[in-house]
Amino acid sequence: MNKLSGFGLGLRTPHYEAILSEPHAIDWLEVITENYLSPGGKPLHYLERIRERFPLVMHGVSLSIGSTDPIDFEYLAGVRALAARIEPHWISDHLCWTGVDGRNLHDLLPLPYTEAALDCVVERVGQVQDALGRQILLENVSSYLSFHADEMSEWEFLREVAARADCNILLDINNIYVSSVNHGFDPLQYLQAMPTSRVRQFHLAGHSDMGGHLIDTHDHPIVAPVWDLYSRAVALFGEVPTMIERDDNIPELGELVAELDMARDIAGRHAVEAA
Amino acid sequence: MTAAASPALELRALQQDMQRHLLGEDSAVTAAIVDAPPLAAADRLAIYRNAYQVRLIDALHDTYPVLHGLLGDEAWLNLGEAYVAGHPSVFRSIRWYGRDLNVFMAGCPPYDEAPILSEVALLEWTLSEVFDAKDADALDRTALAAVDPAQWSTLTFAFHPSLRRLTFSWNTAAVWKAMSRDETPPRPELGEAPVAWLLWRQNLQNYFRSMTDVEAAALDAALRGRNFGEICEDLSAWLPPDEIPAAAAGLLGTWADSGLLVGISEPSA
Repeated sequence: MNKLSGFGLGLRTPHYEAILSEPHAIDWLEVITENYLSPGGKPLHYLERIRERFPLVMHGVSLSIGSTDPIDFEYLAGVRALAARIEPHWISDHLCWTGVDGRNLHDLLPLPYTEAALDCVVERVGQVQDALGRQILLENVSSYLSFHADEMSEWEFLREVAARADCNILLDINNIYVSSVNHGFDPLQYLQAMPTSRVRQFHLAGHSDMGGHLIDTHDHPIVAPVWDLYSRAVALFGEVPTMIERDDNIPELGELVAELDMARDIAGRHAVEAA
Repeated sequence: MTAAASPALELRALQQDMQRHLLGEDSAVTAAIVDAPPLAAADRLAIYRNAYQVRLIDALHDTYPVLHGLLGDEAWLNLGEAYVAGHPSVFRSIRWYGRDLNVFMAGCPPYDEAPILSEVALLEWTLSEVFDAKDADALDRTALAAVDPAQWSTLTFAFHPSLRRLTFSWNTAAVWKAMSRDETPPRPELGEAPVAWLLWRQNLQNYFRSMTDVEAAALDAALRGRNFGEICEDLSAWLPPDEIPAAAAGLLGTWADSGLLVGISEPSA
């Protein structure tokens, strides 16, 4: 896995031209894998141009690593072919399931945190890493429900998956915060349980406050408690490559770059403190 | 779920049960969900169930913005809910969701009472296919001019992967164009005869235009792999024999100018 550092954004269609033509402080870009599995046309054209100027990472939304359906090796062949074409620093997806019986609910559904689910996920991560010929990163998702069947916490589950399957972790700071509110746990406990050597990327994003609970909508700026948690994460894990996801209500590129500068400032302060 | 089920089967049963709930089918999954502040188990599940429907209807909107505009928000939502209810996604990328919307509308009241709506849906879906179809390098007219005249009658032609052929009975394209420009669309009108349409992508831009019967016959023949001589034979139903070769060659030039022609082949020996 090549070295990637600095502060990135999720590549979104409305920003294609601005990314290519405007000067801005974006160190790298994360692309949604599925958006570029189409045969040709504008998406791949822009991706080819953008990869000439920016380091990329690929981020999938439909691996469904926690599903009990058979692994879709045709999909993985497509992912591998795209990776061969754009040479991302790494490929990530989510620790979740998205459907069974051949259906895709297009959502990141939580797993029961049981030994059985752990066995299922660990075996499948191994198969996926073999098929892709590389280690993957798995991301913690926001969740709104948990199961009576749970035998361990989400952070214990994630840590065990990474250790047993030998994969790395994309830690979504906003998702930890959203889930901590929705399930009433201490987000710091989650952070502190993560194995430092496996945390390779941070996600930051905004969410919607629904009163008693939070929804991970990616349509707002990042809120103060998430910035605070990010600050704690940098203190724990050092300057891990960090990016901002915005999927709805997408502002001008400059607004996201300014938000990225806030992440840069927070990380910079910790670097000074550590020196 | 029985006490004897293996842990792996229990996981599968749980996922199937939760999926049934999210799809609006009979499910007992609520009992498996933790019921604790700030939300009751049913409300926690409802977040996912609502998100499922909203997400798929949003995906339909991305592909069918003109249809949404024609129907208005309320009718659009009704259509989306009806379609989503009967069409669980089987696609890895949500971009492909909604492929069968025109077929659904053509056979489902009240949409079947306004057949132009399913034609608009077909046009929008097809434009989405044109948008990200496979790339190919187009040939220009010089490639045609370079062919030995003695070879012409046996030549076959390959076309850009984005090329699509449609036939509309209604003034579908005019309605689509007006709506796309935020103008008041013309009233739906059934044409005297169905009209052939050609859709394609050139330099990353989507295009579409109507074709004459002659052009449609020639293009359809060429797409079927008929060689130039055979294409000319097919045109004898429309044109006097002495006009056919020049007309067919003219069409090939037009197709080349539009970036539609990607291959010219002589028959293998």
